[in-house]
Amino acid sequence: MTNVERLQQAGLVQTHIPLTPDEIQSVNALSPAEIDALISVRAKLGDAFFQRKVKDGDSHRMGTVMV
Amino acid sequence: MMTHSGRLREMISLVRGRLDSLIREVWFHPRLSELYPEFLFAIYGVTASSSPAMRVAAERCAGASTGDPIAAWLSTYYLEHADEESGHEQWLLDDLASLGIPRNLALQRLPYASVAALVGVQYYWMFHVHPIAFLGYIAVLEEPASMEFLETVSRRTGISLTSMSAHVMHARLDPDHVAEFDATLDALPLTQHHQDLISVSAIATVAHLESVFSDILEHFERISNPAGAATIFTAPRIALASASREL
Repeated sequence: MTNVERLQQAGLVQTHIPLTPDEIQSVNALSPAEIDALISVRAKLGDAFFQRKVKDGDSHRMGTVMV
Repeated sequence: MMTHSGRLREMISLVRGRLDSLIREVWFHPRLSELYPEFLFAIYGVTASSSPAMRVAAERCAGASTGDPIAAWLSTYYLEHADEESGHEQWLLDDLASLGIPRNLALQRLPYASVAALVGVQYYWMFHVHPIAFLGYIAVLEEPASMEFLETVSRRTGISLTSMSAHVMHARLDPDHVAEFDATLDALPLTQHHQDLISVSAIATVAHLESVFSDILEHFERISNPAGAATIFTAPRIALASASREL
């Protein structure tokens, strides 16, 4: 089973909104520990809502938090 | 062959879509001028813990076995950055004070449980696995807003840059920190175990930050319901230089 298939089985990749080829490559390059962690925290991938581009800038401009 | 930092950043970008949406929902909230103190308070809880956490991480490195080739380097790195970050939470208290929120009010309020969980999981890995995990935490968090973005927010909402001093300072300081972090990560002799731990820590950090930003939005919604306002600031309504404006 590929990493993408594992995440699909866990409901974390929306099968009706497929990942791009680059995303598939990136996901399949993740280690077993990383896939386990994604499933553990229920990190949703490939959902168009969560991946929509910011209209007024991008995530790098908004920043995250500050250490 | 991809560098350690390149692989880590690619993985983080893969999983942070929802987090970015929540961050955007905060920054572009139609009532950001009213939400902003709650935002600052939440971040205060995170920032206040950073320097102490790095010092503990350094101590854990110092206690690592002599056969650990990374422990000594990590200890020095964490101590240097603990010194750099020390006191940064005061900027957030200054920003809250500039908005009419007294420092003692912010200090008396309990931090979000989601913030405690975000930081607490790092202590788990420091004490029970390896303090290198904290690098995954730093990789996610140390991503400052740009000055251009902050100036746009200020113009849009009327929130003075003076009340964004913490964000402004990090916009000026952190871009160098990010490049430095990546360069040092790439130079480390990481085993697969180290790489996995850093990645897992980053994944958990993204997930917990989603909870923090969800909480910011949820807490703010309770402002409209006085019965639910027990956990928000009860200071008088904040008067800003100008009313919030639509884009």
